[in-house]
Amino acid sequence: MLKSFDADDVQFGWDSTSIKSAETCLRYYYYKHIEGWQPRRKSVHLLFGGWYAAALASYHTYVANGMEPEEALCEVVAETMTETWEYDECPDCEDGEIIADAGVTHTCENCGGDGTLPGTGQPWLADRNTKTRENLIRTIVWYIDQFGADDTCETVVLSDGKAAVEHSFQLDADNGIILSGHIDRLVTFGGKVYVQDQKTTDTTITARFFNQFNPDTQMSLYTFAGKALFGIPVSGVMIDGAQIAVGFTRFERGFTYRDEGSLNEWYDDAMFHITTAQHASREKHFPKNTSSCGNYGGCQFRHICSRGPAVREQFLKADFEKQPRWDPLVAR
Amino acid sequence: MTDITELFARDPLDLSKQDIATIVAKFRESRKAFNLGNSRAGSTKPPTAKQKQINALMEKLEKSNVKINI
Repeated sequence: MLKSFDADDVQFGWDSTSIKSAETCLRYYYYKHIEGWQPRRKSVHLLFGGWYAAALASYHTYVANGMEPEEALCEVVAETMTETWEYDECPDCEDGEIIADAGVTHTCENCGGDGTLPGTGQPWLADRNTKTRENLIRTIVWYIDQFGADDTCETVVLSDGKAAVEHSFQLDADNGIILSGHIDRLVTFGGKVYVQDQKTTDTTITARFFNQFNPDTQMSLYTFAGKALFGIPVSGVMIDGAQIAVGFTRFERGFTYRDEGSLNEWYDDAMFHITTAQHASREKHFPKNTSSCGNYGGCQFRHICSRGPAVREQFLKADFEKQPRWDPLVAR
Repeated sequence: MTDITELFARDPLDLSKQDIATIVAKFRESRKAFNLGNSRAGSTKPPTAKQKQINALMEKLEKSNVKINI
């Protein structure tokens, strides 16, 4: 049962990924978020960036909870090594659960309950020589060595005494819409409060790299949510960019700011895009925005849209696979 | 010291705390070397046929224990 869609398949739970898709092109939104078509091999950038951000968020959580920084570093390195190892799937169960005849579920004893077999498998292999498994671990170690103990920014401690780390949020917006997302860390830097976010790239980080985040829905939503959730005047997002090269990782820290007026404008625009996508879902008509087809090296569905409507499904099946629909209201 | 490549090839559930510490130490060393300017960026481009030939010759020379300075 999907949490973010109503009985008519209209999405009411929205995160920055789905808002961005609706902003970009309604046909893209349809293929990706309604139909659930995903490339057969997940993007190396998404995998690498996801593991990297998760490792640093865990590190900050461990340290905030009292673990020694060195121990926390070794812990997240060990966790990431395991995350990036592809174990064989257990043939006896599904995700560690066996459903008996009477419909009773019990934990699989063959695999220990997670659906994978220890002692099997191989390391994850990247399809490019910058964002490799080794370079991921290197980047984590180098980042924590550079920004760990001596960092000039600090994790915000909330009024209840808890550190503002790894916070999944759901915010009620207008017309029954719920905005959701995940903030890795809220920090103070130079007397101001920022949401911290990690980004990776293959290229040299210049001012242009940071400029791409304004305007940007993800950064606006983070700032909007940070203010609404914590009741703190959040200035924007601190972006720690990591340039991943074959032989090194170089970090640059940048900021993207949002004032009250910009946030109000973003909110109105986001509501417009969301209601437009909801209308498209009700009408079952998702027009293409052909001006977006060439952006960022070209849309992944461009070669599908360029085919005649009668044969598109065949081409989708050849190059993509249907995954469970992205469900923003399911907490991480 | 254990070769880091061997540690990366091993099932991570079999790695000890010492193994993880070894990996961390290795990457710290490489960061130090990079900061001192003693490591190269590396290339994202695949080697050309000529480069592959040179690499193969270098490998042969290394195996024969002949010391060369580039």
